Amino acid sequence: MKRGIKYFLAIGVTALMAACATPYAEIEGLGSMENDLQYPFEVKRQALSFGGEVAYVDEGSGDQTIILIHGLGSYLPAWKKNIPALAENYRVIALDLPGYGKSSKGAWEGSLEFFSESVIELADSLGIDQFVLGGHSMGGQITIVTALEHPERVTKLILAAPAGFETFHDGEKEWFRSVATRSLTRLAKPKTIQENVEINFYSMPDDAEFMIRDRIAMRSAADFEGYAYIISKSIVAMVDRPVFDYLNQIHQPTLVFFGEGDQLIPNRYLTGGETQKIAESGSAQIPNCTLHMVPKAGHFVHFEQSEFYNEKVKEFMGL
Amino acid sequence: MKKLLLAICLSTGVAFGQVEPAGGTSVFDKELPQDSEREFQFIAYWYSQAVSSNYYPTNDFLKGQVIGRLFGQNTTQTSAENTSLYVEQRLLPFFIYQPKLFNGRAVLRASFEIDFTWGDVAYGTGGNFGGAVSADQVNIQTQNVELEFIPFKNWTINLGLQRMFDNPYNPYRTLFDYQTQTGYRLMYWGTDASGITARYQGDYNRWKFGAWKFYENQVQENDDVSMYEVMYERDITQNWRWGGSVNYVRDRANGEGGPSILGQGLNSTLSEYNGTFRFPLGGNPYRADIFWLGSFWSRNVNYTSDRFMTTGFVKYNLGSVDTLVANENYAQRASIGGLAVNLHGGYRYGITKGDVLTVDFLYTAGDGNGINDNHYSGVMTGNNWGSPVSVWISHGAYILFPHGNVVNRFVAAVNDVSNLGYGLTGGTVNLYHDIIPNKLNAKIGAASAISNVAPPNGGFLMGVEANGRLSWAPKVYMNLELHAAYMWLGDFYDSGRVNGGNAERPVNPWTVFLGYKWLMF
Repeated sequence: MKRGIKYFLAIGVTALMAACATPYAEIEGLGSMENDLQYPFEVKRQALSFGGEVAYVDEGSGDQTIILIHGLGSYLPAWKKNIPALAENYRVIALDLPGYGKSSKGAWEGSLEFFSESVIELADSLGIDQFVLGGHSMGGQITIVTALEHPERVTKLILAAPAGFETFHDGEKEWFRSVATRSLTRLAKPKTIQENVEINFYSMPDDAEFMIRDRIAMRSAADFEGYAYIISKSIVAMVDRPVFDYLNQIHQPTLVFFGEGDQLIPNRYLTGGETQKIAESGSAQIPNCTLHMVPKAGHFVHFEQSEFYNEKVKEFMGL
Repeated sequence: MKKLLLAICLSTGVAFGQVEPAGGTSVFDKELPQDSEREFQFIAYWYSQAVSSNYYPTNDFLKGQVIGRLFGQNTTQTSAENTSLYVEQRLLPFFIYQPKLFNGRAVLRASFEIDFTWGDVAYGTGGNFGGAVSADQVNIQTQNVELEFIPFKNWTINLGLQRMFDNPYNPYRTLFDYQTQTGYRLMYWGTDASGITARYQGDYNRWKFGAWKFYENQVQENDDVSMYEVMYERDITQNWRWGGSVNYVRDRANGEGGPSILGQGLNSTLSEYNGTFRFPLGGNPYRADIFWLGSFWSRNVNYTSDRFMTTGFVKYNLGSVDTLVANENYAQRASIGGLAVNLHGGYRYGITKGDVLTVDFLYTAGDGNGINDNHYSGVMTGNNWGSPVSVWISHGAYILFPHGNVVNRFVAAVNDVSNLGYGLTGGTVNLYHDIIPNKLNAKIGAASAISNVAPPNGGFLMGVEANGRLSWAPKVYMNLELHAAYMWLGDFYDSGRVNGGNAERPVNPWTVFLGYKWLMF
């Protein structure tokens, strides 16, 4: 009798577990990233000289304009907790870089200068002469490049966990170039995608879940290959356009955020060590720079501690 | 997110390449130039260590490789007077070749082990000498020679001498550390063997089918040992994975074949070496059919979703051993039925995976009377057929359970979780701390176990171990590590049956070693 109950329980538990399924399994794949990704803002499009269009949002108004650039593999919804707050006082523009999100995919050059020129072109097309430029991670490095190449256009810099503060030697750079293949992006399974998003956070917030779901859904999109392509190009671009030695030429006021719990900077495999050291070494190069080390925040510092970020940005903007 | 790419690369192993039909933009002026994976790759793992301990084999014959249970047939004993001191070295070169003409759908992998002790013999319980002064030759073992085919999306077929691990993942595309934490944690099958495997690695579920030949012996005779397996795992929630497996070993070899003079199989001397239960079958030919039914689970193994991780399994081995009675007729000598349960958990209290507290619990059923009642109720693992096949090395202990930093010597009090068939209840607790994140890590740990059956004239307590480690990573995948462990032997070792025939409890074992690791890629 007892044995019968045991078997019954075992079969019951097995059947119950077999019936369970991760909610990710129910995600419907996208037909097209450009058309089917859903953003929490009204999305506009602008044709640029590279031959495609960039998707962007244009929210709020004010005497100053902030343009926000996302990081590697990300997209403009990563700013969704910053745009509404900042748009209360300023005009806020966030874009999908060429090849990312809802922007056109194609065999774009993908250098940091190319991305930088796309930002400048977008600003031109919108009649914006000067602007505050903010970027996250790779977007931070693009922000730095833009400020160095177009100092007359960029009035202030806001850098969230910027790439470029951490330096790599030639061998490491060559290694990055060699592993930066499209299959890195193309073959990632949902669990890998999930963990790669989660590690961006000190503690993965529920409202960041959309990043995982969108990324999983993207895999079926007709333009996903183009997304994988631009990511591989972007990695090489960051390696090929080091900025650390030029940080001292940034004379605009600069605000820098790093999460104290950033697990991606410094690179945990190649470098290791403390985020704060990287943050301080980069910030110290910039003549007019304020650094905030943010507790309980990871690499997505502007998302995870959005209230702090928004408040400090507003202070920085002179509010 | 720049750093993610490296993590992606390492965790998926895509550097080894796997083609998948490209979706993509088919507009002519937006056509993307195609790239291909690298045709040839070389990866190497270097490990060298300077070891000091108070245990060593006392048989002059046993130079070079020493594997097995402390105080076991390998003659390892502890000493209050003598201290061993040696340096040993390992290089594992991996060669990976993907012919471009197969467009990533075929991969050849070959890897070798070059092991030796400085100034000592190199490998094996006999022969294969080298590495001494004026001897350029050292032993080179072929670790893996295998082909991987990718016939369809998500499917791989591996053929040849390859990793035989007891988890559902592709061992060449999954980080080794992950594999030691999941499935059956290499506690049953964790070595290399010849065979063919097919794996489906889907988005939310995974299949593995394997057929292995442990021993061929006489090619014209039905005297082989073969293993067949099926594993399945699926994601049952965002963070939980759950799976099950069936393994079957068909043993018709009568203990013939096996590692050198030790033989293999249920009645072999290998059992005494490895610390498994040695079936007292005498010289009778035997046939064994053994199944393993198990279920395993894991949650948040990489500590990314939140701060808690857990893995574990329940596994039951059952079957029958028949011996020759007369006229080529076999009759059942003993039935088999043994349960093992493992629970493993961790809490990440800091930022990195280096700031964790882990606990590990293991229960394996024991048998007090062997097969006197025609039934063996203990656990069986691959250690019955090879040395070592089951390598549980992710528990954090050093002496009570075997440690993974190995070149030529793999010795522990519990070398096989069956614990000579006595079973055990035990576990470990480890506290890790990143002094410098991802750079300098310290660890302290403890381990303890009781035998579920007391040996003759001995007690239940096997002992308590305390250990520590300091690990510095000066460069990528390069580590300099200082390890130390001490074990207080319990009254289990009052028994001459398990303490190497000593009249009283042996001296407590200790070890200290300085290791240098470098995974080059």
